[in-house]
Amino acid sequence: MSEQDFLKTRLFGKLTASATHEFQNVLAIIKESAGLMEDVLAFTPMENADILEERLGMPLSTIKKQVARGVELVSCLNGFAHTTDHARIKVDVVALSRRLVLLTRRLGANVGVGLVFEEQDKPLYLTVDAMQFQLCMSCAMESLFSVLPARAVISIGFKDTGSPSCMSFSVNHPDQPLPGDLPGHLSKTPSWPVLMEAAALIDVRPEANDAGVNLLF
Amino acid sequence: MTKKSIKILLIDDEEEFANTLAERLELRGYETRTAACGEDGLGLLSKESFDIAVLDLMMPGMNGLDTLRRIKLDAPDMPVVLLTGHGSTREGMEGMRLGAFDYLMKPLDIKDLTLKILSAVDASDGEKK
Repeated sequence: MSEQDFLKTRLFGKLTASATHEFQNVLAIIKESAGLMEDVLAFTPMENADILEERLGMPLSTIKKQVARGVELVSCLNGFAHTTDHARIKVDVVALSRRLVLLTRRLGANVGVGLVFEEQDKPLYLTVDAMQFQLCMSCAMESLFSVLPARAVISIGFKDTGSPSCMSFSVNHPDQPLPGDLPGHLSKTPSWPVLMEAAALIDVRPEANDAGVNLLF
Repeated sequence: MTKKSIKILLIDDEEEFANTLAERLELRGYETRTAACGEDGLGLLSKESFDIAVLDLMMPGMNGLDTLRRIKLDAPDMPVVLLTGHGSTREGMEGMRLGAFDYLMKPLDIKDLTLKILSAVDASDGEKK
């Protein structure tokens, strides 16, 4: 990445990180206000308290549920924005992937493809240009989005292959076979050459097979 | 110490957040004072004594870590619980290295906060004895 490209990316990340921090504060205030309403209902003796609790219980619970959803998204976006801080840094690829999968879920849903992150407790550290690594992941997913039928699911996880490490994007469909010659179809998508070029810059090796895509690093 | 007698200094530049949280803590029997910046918090600390401070890390002007350093000079025995945004665990860890009891992420769970306050004050009382 050129110095100018790095500075532009970092500016985008810096402003996004700053705005998401503010969003976290907004959500925190909404959550505390909903909590205070619950407290008032619980702590203040009043007539018809049962009816009030019954009528306000559901909207308050909805507010809390949606705040939790917002916090998860905004926290992921904040973490993603901070990956532009350094040109190269030691990152936990598992945490990085979990975050990117959550942020990409809507893009998958737009074409009817589901994304599932296979949880892994153990971190996997890599010193890398984190944005470039995420670009590789994103291209792998976009390439799959282009060829998979609606209702397909991509499971993103890590295979214990020792060295090199392997991130897998395994595809399946609940009720129809996957397209034959998946590697051939993937190679024709616009995202595939971008993935190959991006991966070469950080020593990541993409591999397509009939089960999906692997990133070896 | 019972929670009835715990006096909390709550320092956060998000005044609506601080005031709402203070009200929720008061409903649970705690006594609270709020300050909208580090300087105001230190000002209150110079006039009154507190059992614990709950301190936001991300504040304009004197930031949370600088405020924490000053608190540890002015009231070294008072425990401090830090509040961080999600994704700011590094600052939380740095705060603990500087002497904070622990840190919690915003948005908070009020039960987590009250448990943390009680254990911090208990630990501080134990050390004083």
